[in-house]
Amino acid sequence: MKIKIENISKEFKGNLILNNINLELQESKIYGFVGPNGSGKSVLLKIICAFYMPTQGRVLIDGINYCDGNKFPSNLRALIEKPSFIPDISGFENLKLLANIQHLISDNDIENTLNIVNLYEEKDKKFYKYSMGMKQKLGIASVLMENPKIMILDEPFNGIDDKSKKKLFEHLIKIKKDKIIIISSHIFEEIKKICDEVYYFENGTCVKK
Amino acid sequence: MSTMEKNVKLKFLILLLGSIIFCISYWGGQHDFFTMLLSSYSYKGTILLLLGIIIYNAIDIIKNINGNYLYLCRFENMQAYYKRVIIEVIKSNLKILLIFLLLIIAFSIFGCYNNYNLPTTFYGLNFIIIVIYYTIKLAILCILFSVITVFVYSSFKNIGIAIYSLILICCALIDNSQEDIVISKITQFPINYIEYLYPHEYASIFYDLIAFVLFVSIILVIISILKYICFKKRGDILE
Repeated sequence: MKIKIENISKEFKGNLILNNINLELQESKIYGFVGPNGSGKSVLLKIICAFYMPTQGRVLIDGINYCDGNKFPSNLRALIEKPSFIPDISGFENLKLLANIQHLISDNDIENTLNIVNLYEEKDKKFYKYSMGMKQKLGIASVLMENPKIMILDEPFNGIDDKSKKKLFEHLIKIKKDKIIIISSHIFEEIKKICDEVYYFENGTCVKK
Repeated sequence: MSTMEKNVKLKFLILLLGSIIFCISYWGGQHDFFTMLLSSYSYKGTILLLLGIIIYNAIDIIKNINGNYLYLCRFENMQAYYKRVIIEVIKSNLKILLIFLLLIIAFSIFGCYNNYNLPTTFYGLNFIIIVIYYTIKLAILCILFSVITVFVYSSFKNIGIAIYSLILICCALIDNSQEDIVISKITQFPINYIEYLYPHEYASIFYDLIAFVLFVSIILVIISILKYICFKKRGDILE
């Protein structure tokens, strides 16, 4: 599996957010996107997911151009910005609702994932009662649970305690084979421990660090 | 209170306001319960208000789905995305329609009791059939207008919705009550939806049905064109 980002530029109302980005992401690696707020990391992640169309350039996933036509990349899961869940049902039920869109996994798989993110004990608690860290963990669980080939995690460790963070790092390193995992953060120190390659974003451009 | 809860309460309050406006407009005792109930289904003020809420609710649901990346990345293509959005919008708008009908019935009863004009005569099976017929028509229009809203908002965002709302208001305000044969109105006012909401007593049910079917066909053609534009012009899903 390979993601090829070719000459991607993105403008919003005349403001150039991304300027001619070229990247090639290979499988079995964890990639880090670092940069200050507003540097264009999240916009590039949304273009990879095909939520945004680039002003120029294209994204090829295994040779298929997702910037043209009506397809979304299959086998991709993303946690971008704050996770949105239904407040009046439990964490487990929220994950089950998402899992029911494609029916790929069982209740056991959901529970195992909740265990990985240290949220098993709170699985039956209503979502609105979750703390910020717990909400973030549930968002990460929603990405991990279906074992996708491409995982996109935008600022995933905000508000998560060190113990859970360490467990997640270990898990991501363990599962990275055959997968492309992209993690973005504005703190370089946080992600350099687990990433194989780190790209630094500033003023719409990106360089390998 | 979450934004979603606030929106639900706001929609309910607007509906309540609409029903009160209707009741005040028909206050006076000259109507009995059945006439009042039947008139309410096609009363321009409340229908416009209902459509306003349907449009607002559809945009609200689209924004909620578009803001949920966990949900979005699980769709395989735009077809699956639009299918889900349309189902969610229709489900939610039919619930709003149900609340609207219950409020109208409640206020019609209240209005009659207040005027000591109790329903003493029951019109029988004919009345029930007419009420069911009204309700089906209203539900079909509610579904069709919901679908149009989804495609208009997805393709043209707020400007499109503003123009669409303006067209609906104009179509509701067209007054062609001078005409006495339903079928002749089809050619004159093809998108005057208020006309197609109630069965015309002076025309046979057959003509009324043809008028409604033709009207629905026009809307379906409009939907097909909008759908084509939507899939052809793939832009940013997110705002």
